[in-house]
Amino acid sequence: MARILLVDDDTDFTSATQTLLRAEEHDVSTVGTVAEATGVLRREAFDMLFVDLSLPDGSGLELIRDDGPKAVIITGHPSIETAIRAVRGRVVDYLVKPLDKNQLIKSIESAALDKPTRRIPRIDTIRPANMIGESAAMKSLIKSITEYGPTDLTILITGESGTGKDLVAQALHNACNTDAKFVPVNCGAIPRELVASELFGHEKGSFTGAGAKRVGIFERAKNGTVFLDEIGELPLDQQVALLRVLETGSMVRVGGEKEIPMTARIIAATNKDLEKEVSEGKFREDLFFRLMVLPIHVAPLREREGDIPLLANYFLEMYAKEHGTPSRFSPQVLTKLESYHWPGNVRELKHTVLRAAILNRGKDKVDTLPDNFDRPPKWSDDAQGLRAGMSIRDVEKTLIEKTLDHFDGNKKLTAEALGISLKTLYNRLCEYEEDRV
Amino acid sequence: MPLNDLEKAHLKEALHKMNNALNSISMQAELARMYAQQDDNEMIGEALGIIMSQCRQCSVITQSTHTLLQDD
Repeated sequence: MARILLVDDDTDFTSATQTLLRAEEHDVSTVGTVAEATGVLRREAFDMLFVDLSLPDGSGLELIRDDGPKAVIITGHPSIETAIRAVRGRVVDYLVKPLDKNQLIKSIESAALDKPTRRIPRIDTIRPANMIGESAAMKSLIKSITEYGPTDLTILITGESGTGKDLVAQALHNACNTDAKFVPVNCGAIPRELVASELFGHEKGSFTGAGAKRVGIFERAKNGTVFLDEIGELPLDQQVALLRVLETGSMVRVGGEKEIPMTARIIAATNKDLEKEVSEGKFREDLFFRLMVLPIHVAPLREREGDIPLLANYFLEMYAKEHGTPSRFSPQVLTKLESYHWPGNVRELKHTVLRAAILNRGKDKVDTLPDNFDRPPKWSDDAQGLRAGMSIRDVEKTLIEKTLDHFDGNKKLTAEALGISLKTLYNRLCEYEEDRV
Repeated sequence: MPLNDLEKAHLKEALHKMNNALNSISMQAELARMYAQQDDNEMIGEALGIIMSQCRQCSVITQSTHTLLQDD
């Protein structure tokens, strides 16, 4: 049982909430103004505060103190500003009206578990060593990570392919100052029929092939972070399941009945325009807003003025240590790198630097760049070799062969560019060879 | 056409009131569900009454906003 003070000037709401929470055996008092709440808090002790941000005589934030009870913010007008201001106090949750009973119960349970939602970031770990850049866009990104990282709020990272959204997710997790796990999952890489089992786990015998119980990613992460990369690829039916988990804070394994509490924080990322996906009916609007609690946009490399030389030098020095290649660029090469618009962003720059390092092996500096570095293949524009009706397997084969060709047969670079392991690449190439035989 | 400050203030207030009404409807629906489990028809009727009243409130808000936009 928790002793709760509910501060809101809407008496219909406070009275209904009081009745609902009393039925759950919580002791609930209600007041309607900052002044009344201040008086009650001075006289009585509470475990928790449920407080509306917008009160007749001021902001509910005035009632949240470091030495006071844990607080849940309630607002009808969510904004990043209020969310950020809110998480600086003893805030365990941030709820947006209209509310339901499950949200209230989940918040009370979070507080009872003493879940460390307000953690002090370790500044040295917020910015990973490989997050390079001094541009205004990069500084703004680091600021967002510093502010959003220590919260438990859901974050949606957007940005073009190759901008490093995965690094941002890792940095947000690191900023929590927690030893809990960071569990990344690429939603686009899981076979459609296995998505539910992968995310939520399954019970033994729940479907053909489920020979043993399996714990899903959300359970495995415990109090850590689940990073849902390429969230835009999540099938619609699983979007419903994810929404349910986010709303109720609990999940059920495939083939199971028991509700399992979900204590992990969710960070999602996409390179798609999710608003457009919503308008086209490919992504659920309610899930979009659930994920958009705190949005972070990672700028493309062409908008990060001054960062290209810093990144290029960083990658070059890294390869020099690993492969004994040159560790500096000639000024002309750096100028060329800076003047290119990098549609493939940091990932493309990294691959170009590696190819340049190999090309200039034995020299004291990199003074030439690969011939076609600024003319990447326009597969997406003219879809060379692709036609409607091709099987996925044939498309994959074409893509692998073209990428291999682009990287002059270098399998390591090809695997990196395609986002698959070297082992997978070799397996595919063996399969194609067998097909030919 | 961009809204003037007065119209913006009206819309802001309308959204605030609408949100409160929806919040109240949501919580009363939760109460009705709880009373249904307890077979308490009288209290279910009371919760539904408040829901109806809040729906009427929403209707007034949407009509006043509609009038404002038409006048504009």
